[in-house]
Amino acid sequence: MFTLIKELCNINGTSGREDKVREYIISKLGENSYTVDNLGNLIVEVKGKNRAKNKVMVCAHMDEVGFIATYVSEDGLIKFDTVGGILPAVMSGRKIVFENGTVGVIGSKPVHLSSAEEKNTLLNKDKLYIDIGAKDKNEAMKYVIPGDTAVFVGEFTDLGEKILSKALDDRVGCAIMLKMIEEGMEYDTVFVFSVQEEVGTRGAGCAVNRIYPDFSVVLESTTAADIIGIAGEKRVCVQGEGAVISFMDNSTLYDKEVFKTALKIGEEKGIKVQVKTAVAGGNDSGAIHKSAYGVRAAAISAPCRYIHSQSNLLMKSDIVACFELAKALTENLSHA
Amino acid sequence: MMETKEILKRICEAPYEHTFDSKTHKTIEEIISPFCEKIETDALGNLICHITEEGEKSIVLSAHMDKIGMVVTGIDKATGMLKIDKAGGIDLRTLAAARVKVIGSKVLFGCISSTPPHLTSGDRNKVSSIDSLFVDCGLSYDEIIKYVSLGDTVEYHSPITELLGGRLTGAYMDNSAGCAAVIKAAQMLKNAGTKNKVTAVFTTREEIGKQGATAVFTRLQPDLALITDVSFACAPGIPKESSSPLLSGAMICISPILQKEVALKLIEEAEKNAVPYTVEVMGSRTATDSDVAVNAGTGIKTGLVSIPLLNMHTPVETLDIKDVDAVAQLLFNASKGG
Repeated sequence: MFTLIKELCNINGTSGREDKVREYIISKLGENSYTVDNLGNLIVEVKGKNRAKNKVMVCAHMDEVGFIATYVSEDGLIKFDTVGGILPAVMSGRKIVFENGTVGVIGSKPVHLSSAEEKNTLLNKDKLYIDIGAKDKNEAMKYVIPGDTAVFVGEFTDLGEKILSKALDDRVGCAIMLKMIEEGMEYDTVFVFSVQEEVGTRGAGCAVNRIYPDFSVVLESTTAADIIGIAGEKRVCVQGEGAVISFMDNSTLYDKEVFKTALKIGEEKGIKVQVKTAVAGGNDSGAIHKSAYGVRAAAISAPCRYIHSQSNLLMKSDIVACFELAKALTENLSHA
Repeated sequence: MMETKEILKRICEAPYEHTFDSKTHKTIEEIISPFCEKIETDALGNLICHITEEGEKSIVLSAHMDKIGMVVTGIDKATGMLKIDKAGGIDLRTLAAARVKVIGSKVLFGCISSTPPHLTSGDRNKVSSIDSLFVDCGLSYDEIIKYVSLGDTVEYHSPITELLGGRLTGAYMDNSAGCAAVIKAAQMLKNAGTKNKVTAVFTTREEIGKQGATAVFTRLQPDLALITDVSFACAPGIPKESSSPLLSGAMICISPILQKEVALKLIEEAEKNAVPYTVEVMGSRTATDSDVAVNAGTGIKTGLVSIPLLNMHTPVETLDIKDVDAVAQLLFNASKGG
């Protein structure tokens, strides 16, 4: 599964530009039949050993946060907007790469020439620019035009017990689903590799309107704030404590019964499960649970430090726990 | 003949430590040794490379080889994360979630922490202070203490990448670019021969107070010191009078604290040999080793030649390799003699 994760992370695809991620996933589907809808969601109907009593939809998003060129100045510098939520703190001084492979850097005025106030104020996207090395507008426009998107350069690095990469949010979820598909399911299950999660969960709802599932299980990465100086519930979740399940976040009030079932499965099967200790963030469940005729939603997340940056950091054992819980919960809901 | 780009890349990516034999020291020594009679190290770790041991006039070509970074000040028992402080004027605005390497008993890769969105408490535009940023190598306390000790160095991990037009970007162009220019000049002197006694010097501690240059210039007392460093390239927000465009060649410094005759001689050599250059005027100190070289010991005639650089002290320092070659050419022309 970690080879899958690495290969998926190395593919670039912001919201609305998930094509290459989707092509890769399709290449791994084997004999399973699939549909790509008008938004680009990839819907895979996996035949199980048995027919399911309830229709369960498992979902992870293919897109990653990134940047979109908005304007090219006379001196060949590129103004941009962010695609998805990227804090100003993690933008300055980063390398980024456009869809056609053009590399750029997010530059700024050197600290030496900055006033004390400037040194202590992060530069937001309105003050920053991307420099691809072009000598003027004409040269720049041969490589990048407004509307082209880019992602962080952030190589995949195996740190031993943990992995570090850009785009682990949510290629980890995609990899878990691919592994579930590859291993085969006990019951018929629908897998949705969704688009445009990072720009307001705009993709998954349309897939739901096609599928009409009874239950949904979203596989995600969620903020882990278990770093120095942060204690208790403010950590949101803790690396090494396993799969994170949510009772509520900024976009969804999760189904209480399903939530309890997930906890029970963890206990029975000896899978490490922890409860998200803050009402924060959101994921595709926000769109899913209120689409079609309403869906009973669950979210299983891997605790991710430094999310939405070039350096997503995840623990391998937590990813394995997410996989085990996702598989067991999906099968449980299918015949509940 | 090794290409400038290759030399630059190797020095940029070699970890630096304030010792006598960091990877940066070893890399420079290895590259320059074919062009030298003798190489020595002094008490502060400066690398002194004698290109010729005798000659009419003694000339030192010098570049600092130390790098900005961070130093490990604590290891957290609960998380295995490292507390850090600044070593040199790192740009704090570029630290959150940046990739780093820790130069412990082995090199560990990791990243700097960033404040999670739900804890930014409204002010998302405030820069985190160094004591609220930590290094995360993904290892537990018991694991990390096998490799990391207090005082170990932390560096940006941002390998050299090519942009359009052959521009290069990555960490530690400051001052691997200057080192590469001095090495290239040494190579040219070796090939062409020189009447002078020329020494290439790679100094330590420039970024934390120039102590290396103070010691080495006090010892060497050459007839002429030519210092090479990086300076500001033109970019939005930078005054035109304090910067030169990329691809404009060597930046020759005129400052009241440096002897003007040296600058004029450099300009003359540039004109004579068709080396592209601009003049960089400063009102006083230059924030380079030349500030201490010029009044080391009984005083030394000193010139400063710089390479234009974008995004200084960030992981994406950007330059054009042709500017490094221009500086190398000028150093060669100015030190060859006859």
